[in-house]
Amino acid sequence: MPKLDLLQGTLDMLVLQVLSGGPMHGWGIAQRLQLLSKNTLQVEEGSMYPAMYRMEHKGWITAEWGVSENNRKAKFYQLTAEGRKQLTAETKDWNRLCLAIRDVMAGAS
Amino acid sequence: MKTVLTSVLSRLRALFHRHRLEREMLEEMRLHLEALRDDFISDGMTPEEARCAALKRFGGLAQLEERCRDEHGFAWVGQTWKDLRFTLRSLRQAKLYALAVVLSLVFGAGVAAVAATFTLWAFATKRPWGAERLFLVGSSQSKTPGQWVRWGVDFAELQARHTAIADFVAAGEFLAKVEVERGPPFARITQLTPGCFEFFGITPRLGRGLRAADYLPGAKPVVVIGYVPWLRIFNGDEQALGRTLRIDGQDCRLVGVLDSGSPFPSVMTGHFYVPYVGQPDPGKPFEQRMIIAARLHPGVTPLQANARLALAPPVGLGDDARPFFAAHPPVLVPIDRVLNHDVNNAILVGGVLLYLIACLNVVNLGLVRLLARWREFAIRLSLGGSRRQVMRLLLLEHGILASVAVALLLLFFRHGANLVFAAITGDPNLRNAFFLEPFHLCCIFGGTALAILTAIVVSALRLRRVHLGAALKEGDSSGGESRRMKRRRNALMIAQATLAVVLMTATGLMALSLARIMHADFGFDSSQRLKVWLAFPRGHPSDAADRRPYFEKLWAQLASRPEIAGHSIGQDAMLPGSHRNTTPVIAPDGSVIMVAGCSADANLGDNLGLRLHSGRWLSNLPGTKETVLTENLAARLFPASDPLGREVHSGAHGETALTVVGVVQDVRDTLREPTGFRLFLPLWMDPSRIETMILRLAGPMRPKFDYEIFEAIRGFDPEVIPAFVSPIQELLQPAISRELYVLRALCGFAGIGYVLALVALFATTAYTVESRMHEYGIRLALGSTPRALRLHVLGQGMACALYGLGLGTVLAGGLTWLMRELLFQTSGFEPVVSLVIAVLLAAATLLASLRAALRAGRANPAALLKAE
Repeated sequence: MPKLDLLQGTLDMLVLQVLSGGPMHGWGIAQRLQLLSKNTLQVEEGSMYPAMYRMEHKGWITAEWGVSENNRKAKFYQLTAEGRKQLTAETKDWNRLCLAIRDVMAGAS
Repeated sequence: MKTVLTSVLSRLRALFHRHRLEREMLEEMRLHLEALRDDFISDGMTPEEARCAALKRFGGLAQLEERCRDEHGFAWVGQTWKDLRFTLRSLRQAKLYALAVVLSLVFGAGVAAVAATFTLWAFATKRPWGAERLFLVGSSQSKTPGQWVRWGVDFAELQARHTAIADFVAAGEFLAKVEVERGPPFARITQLTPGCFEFFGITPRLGRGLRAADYLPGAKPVVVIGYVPWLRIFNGDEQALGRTLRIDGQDCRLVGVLDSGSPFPSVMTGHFYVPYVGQPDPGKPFEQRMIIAARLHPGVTPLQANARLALAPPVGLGDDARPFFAAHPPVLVPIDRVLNHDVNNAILVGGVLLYLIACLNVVNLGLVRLLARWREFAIRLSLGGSRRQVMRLLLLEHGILASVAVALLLLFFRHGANLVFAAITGDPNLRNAFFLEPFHLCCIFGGTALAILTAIVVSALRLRRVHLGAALKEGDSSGGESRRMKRRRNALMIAQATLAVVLMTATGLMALSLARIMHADFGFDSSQRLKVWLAFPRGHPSDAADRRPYFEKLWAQLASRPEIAGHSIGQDAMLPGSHRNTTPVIAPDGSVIMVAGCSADANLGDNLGLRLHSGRWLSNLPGTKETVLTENLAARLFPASDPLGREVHSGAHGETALTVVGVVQDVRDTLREPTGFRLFLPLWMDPSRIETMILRLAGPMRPKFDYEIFEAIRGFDPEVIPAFVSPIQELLQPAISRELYVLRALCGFAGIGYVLALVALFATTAYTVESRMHEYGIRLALGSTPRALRLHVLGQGMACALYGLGLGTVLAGGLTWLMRELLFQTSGFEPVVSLVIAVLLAAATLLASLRAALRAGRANPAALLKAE
């Protein structure tokens, strides 16, 4: 099946969700996204970095250099308490949106 | 909110670590790409294929790096640095424009802002709190300087009888010898009654004012010094408090130093301030002149106060003095009259006009510059640049020019303002008196910023309406300028010319007024006359005695000088004195007229050049009771007959009969007071009041001759105070110091305004001609001549100037109304002034438009049409 483009404004939420599972580097986050979406979502992997830097400035995530499982140097990102709150809020909004769309689709058919 | 704050702080921190963040960002992306590539290689791709696939999967690297830099918030730093360099290059190529804007800001906005702040500052800080309840106690309602001179007996009376309506303070004045290392040998001493400092809300710069304890009997003498004397005598030493000054032979301890400017009303200002401890003698009421100030109690209106004050004259007056006090009851005069508001108003309005001219100039030049770069901006916008980026370029350009202007202004005020300030006020002692206060700095920055912001806003509004298609169209020479825009630019130009004309008109009227003052007919010949006025300090042997022998001995010291052709002695009445009607004369109808009696010797008429209308001058033979009247007094006393040989009865009861032997032309004592009644009396009748010697010179006074006379008098008698030793014509200077101050300032403003208007006209005309060169080429091709084109360009410039002249002449009436107190025999419209301004404006227009007109005349139709 062809891949689907990410909906605008959802990349932050997806990255935060992935990081809720534990610290991860950029390459790992991209892999995880692909895995969890079963290759459905089409994401330019580099486009995560502006989003992550933005979230870092907002205080939702922190970053630290470390060594990856492949013994490579990598920058690890970790969710903060503020980030968890943001994730909760965005998840709630997303669920509401999904329900609303589902109701519309169910009502139209 | 918290997120926003965190974000802002984080970006600020990123600004300082941007190089490290940049390195980390690139490293991170490189590592990601490497991992992607390795992944594809492990899937079986070749390294090259894997690299391409990794790049494709990763996304556009350059764009991602830019987006990351934007997210870090320091992309703008690099961009701004590039813009700054571009702007500097661009300004280097437009040096004339940059110079014109900087000079407009410096000379227009900066100088005008400071002039305005000084007057506003003076108005706000020197006007005492509650000034609307402050009055001076005067003698008449006329607007003359002498109206608020009263006497010691008045003050005693007001204190005793009228404390229910107001509080009163007073200041007396006398000249005294001052023995100091540096400074003049004598000074004007102001005696203050208790509570003067508190009354006017004056806090000295150093130390304290006069306190109640200073007035107690036996208190040690103290003195408070004025600001300029403090600079002169103590060199501005802040440790001067506690030092001793010897005033009139008495040691006084310095307890305070006043602030710069005139903390006290000008009529009460002196060099030194000491407690007034004397008691007025009703038998000698005219011994102590005083300036009396009153503060009305709450609930008391000026009308009510005046009614209460118009009561019987002071108790204990002699017969001679009573008619004077009856004829001059106390009257309250608002204190604003002595606060020089007319001077401050004229300077303030002049400064504001100059500031407006400077702002208009900056706006006009900014618009011309914008239109000249119209195509460049259009190309930038079409290549993807945003209007914000173009605005940033404009902001940077104006910001650089404003910064240069402010830097130059600060340098000027640090090193040059003192000289300019001393030149404007005409007082070289003020060379070190100029201190830039924080308030002035704020106004300089604020004034410059406002002018630049106005230019930026106007340019930004114009930029919003740029049409890319029209701007990029080949052959479009209008530079994006619509007809409405052209009209607006012309309107700006006319506005500048109008304001410049207003300033120049005010300056011209002031100059004309001063010229008329200098040539006013005083009723005597003031040329080649030196006046010596001596003040005898208390305790001097000749203080209250027959002074004729004293002056004869003095004359013996001076007679050998060949420069002196003649001399006379008498009572002071000839400049800068003021008309004091203290001698009662009985008119034929029985009424009492107060006149100025002036004792004079037999030579005064000739030596002073008094113009005799009929009869002769006084013979001064002992025992002869004769008099010479001025014309106006003769007409008043003997309206229908020849006064010669008639008797005049002076004294409260007319007890002294004087025979009229001559009538002279009316004599003016001061510039603005109307000529009063005067009669001249023989010297022998009142020899204790002789204080003036008039020296008639054989020719024009050589330099420093007055100084030699001064030194000769000091050598003759070190105890006497030579209060004036000056050519009579120079005595006019203090009387016109305010007018001179205003004239100097207005000359400066008008000169700068004239040059700014000229610059604006030059820039506007040059741009207009340049943008219409194609049109001129077509006109020439269709049969017009270069001469016609030149005249057309000159005509357009002249049209702006004519509009400006017309509007400016009308508006100048408003400014001259503000200056009406300063003008002398000069109305708001003087044909000579208008003619001179018209000629100057025409010359400026010709000068500004000539180059552009010649350029238009040299248009080459073939070349222009080929370029099309």
